[in-house]
Amino acid sequence: MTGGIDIGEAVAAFMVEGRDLVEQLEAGLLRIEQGHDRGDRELVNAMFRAAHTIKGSAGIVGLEGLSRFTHHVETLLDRVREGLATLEDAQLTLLLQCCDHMRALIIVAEAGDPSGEALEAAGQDILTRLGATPGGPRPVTATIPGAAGPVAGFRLWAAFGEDCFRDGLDPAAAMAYLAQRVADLEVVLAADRIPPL
Amino acid sequence: MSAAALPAGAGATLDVHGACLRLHGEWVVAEAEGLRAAVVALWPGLPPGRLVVDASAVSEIDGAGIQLLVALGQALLATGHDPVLRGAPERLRRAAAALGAGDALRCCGMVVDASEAP
Repeated sequence: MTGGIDIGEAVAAFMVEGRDLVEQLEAGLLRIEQGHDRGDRELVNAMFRAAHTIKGSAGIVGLEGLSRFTHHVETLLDRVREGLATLEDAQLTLLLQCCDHMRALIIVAEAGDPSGEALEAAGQDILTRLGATPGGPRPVTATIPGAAGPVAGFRLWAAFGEDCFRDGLDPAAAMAYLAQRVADLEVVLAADRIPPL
Repeated sequence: MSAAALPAGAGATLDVHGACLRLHGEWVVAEAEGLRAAVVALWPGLPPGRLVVDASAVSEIDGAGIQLLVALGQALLATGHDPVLRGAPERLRRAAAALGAGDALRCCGMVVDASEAP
């Protein structure tokens, strides 16, 4: 692979996209709070997708604090959509506070604090009340054995899973993004795996 | 033959007008389930033979929409239709190309209208 990712451009785009996604998540929570069916799978799935995308995109652009924090929101919504948990009133209130906190994390990131250190204590307080384990997963780093300097390139093979749409990942967006940045990209549509009408 | 537009969801509809299946609105993941149901509901009203799939009024599309269009193309071919895609907006063509589902001559398993091919 050649060419670099314009991370500044990606961060700027995320600041806009991230706010939109937080708004989508918040709008879903407010609908439920105002009486909408708590068992509406489409709505819960949409909220999960928003949280999943925020977590993933934030991680990609280096907003580690937001990514880690949103991981807990995503985990709770995943449990709800799997039928392992229900959204009680107290959790709705806390999730709405999570939205405020996620928005605040974006603001401090714009101000030069991408890890969200300034808001760490407040975030942990919300997560504790949400029943999550503060801190959460840390970024995984890896080294390439024998690579003393910059790596000239690598080959990546990937296939999108059956749950990608359900999990909030749009292969079209992902491949369009890669196509701009990968020198030699081959895309094969597994047409025989497409669910029939 | 024409059929009333079937609302697939809040932002997408489709209808049959003569030998033309017209797609409208946002062919996105949030609408996919409704769109699929709408296609199935319209299926008995599709005329045999050549069928123009007019995508000119598709305002938004993502991977789920492309997946549905590919499934539509496959189903039309499997049932003896001769589907021709017409008016595909640039964003539809780009999304299909990104997924390996289209080029200048074919898109989502359907022949691109000859008048639009380069």
